[in-house]
Amino acid sequence: MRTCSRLATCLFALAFAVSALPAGAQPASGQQQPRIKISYEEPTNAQLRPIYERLKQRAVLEELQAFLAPLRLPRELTVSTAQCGATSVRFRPQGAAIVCYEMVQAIEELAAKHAKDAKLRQAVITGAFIETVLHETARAMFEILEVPIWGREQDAADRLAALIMVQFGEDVARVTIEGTADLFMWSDKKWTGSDFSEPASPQAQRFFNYVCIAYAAAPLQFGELVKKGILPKGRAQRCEGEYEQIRKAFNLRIMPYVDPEALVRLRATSWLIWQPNK
Amino acid sequence: MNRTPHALLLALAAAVTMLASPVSAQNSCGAPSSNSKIVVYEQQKGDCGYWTTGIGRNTKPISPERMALRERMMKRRVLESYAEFLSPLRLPYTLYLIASDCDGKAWDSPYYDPSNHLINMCYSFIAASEKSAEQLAQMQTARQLWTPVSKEQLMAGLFATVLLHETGHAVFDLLNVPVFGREEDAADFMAAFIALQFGRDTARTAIKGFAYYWAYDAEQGADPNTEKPVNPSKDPEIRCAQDPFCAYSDEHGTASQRMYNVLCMAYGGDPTGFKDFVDVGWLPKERAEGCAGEYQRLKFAFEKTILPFIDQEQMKKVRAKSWFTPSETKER
Repeated sequence: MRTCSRLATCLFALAFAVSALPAGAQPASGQQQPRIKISYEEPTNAQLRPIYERLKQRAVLEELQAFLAPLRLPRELTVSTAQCGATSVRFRPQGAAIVCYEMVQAIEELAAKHAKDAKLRQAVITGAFIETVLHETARAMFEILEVPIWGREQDAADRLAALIMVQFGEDVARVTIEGTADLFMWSDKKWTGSDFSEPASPQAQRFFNYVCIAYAAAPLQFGELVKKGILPKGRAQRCEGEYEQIRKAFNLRIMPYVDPEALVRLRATSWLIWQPNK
Repeated sequence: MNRTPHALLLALAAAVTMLASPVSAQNSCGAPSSNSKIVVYEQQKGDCGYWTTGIGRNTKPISPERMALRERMMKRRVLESYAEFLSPLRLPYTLYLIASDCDGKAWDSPYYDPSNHLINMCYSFIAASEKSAEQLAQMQTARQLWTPVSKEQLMAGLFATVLLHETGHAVFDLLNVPVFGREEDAADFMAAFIALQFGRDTARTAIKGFAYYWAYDAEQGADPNTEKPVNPSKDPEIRCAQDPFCAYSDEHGTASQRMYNVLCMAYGGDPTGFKDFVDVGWLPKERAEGCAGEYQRLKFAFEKTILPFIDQEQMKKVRAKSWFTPSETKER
């Protein structure tokens, strides 16, 4: 059980928080990456309007811009929040990275159903929201940077998102990975027959992809997953190889587009604080 | 291809032991390979890479049944043909090919050993898949499943794609390929992509062999359960495989996922040649719509990461050859 709280500067997703957490400091204008455009699309569905208002008020996408500041993209990347008619939309070439209001709604509903403790609920919503944003942004980055993808594209986006989650220290890793993992664990969809033809992977499979990378990156922090038998030993033994593989892929194909100085500044920022419940 | 990670680990450990000991590295059989970096690795001079034992700790001589399989493989020149098939690859390190009794189990899957740059084709896999192919061919006929298939087509296609899958692992390793997705899926895609570059008949045999095998596996209950078992096993590995959540921890896709992934690549790469897969409902229309895009993404990845290591002149020669017999590509 854990919660998160915020420092003066806070990761974009935490600012989105539904609870009474204060709004975060805005990123300095000099940090903003001009090649990353953002937009909050107004929903027509009145039920989604409060989500739209909250995201906008909390300047979630502005914080994402600050987070992506080290990226040197060859062309513009647009990140939008929008009403999609589903929890996700098929990524369109040259299109925006879209976070659907319906996905945010689904995250909130699942968290409300399974996490009775308000702080835990908040942490899960934060972590799962960050996962959604990173996943969609990763897909757009693959296209813009013309990254060759071996394997299923959506798994690749998950693995890249997981890698990013574990590069900013224990607290960020805890909040993001645990929020993501909880959400996937709570999913009640049962996959059978032709469900497996979907290009997206089952939630349980995604759960293990994320926690495997987290365990390899920080075995002390995530070792309890193995001790409790949640991450089976057989898979755990091979997580280091999986982690090294995605790290190598990142270094070969994405790192050339990252400004190392800006990355250091970004990593020196405190984004999230994880606090275990006493 | 392996469905039993534990077995794979054992095999890897065994292979390390094997290559640590001095063994003749030169193949004394047949014509010299046209690629010095693809070597059929002899255990004993004159065995032509078809070992008469298992590997590593499994030093027992093979049974008469396995010996018969070995002879069939030798007669068909499986290793020599495969070395020739791979000859256009310009590898920075030598890739070794062998056939052996592996761990000596009833079912050992062929594998790539990254420590020794070695692909090992296990005799038992051929025996087991032959049995599966026979049962599947009967099942297909009795239930009029999807597209007709013969036992010969199934066997040849499955064996080829398993080797291509392991070659995918080898190539990712030896060429230092960035793999963003799950490597096991990536290796399946590699198998499908290569098969699709050798004409429609070859591609259909390979894809059908692979897809029907996983269809059969799914039919046997290999996809994860949707409910917890009433009496879970005491063995942790089996208990995990029985559990509706833990079963997804396998780094391989589920049997059905693997089947659909490869069907999708086939249809995406050749919509006319594999139209029947969609028409009969094997590949659902919803997935089929995105398959051209999925195939293009795969083609792009291949062109960016593998193609620079392929000798085009040698590739022309390899593509001009027939790799299956007429009975193996014959459609029922």
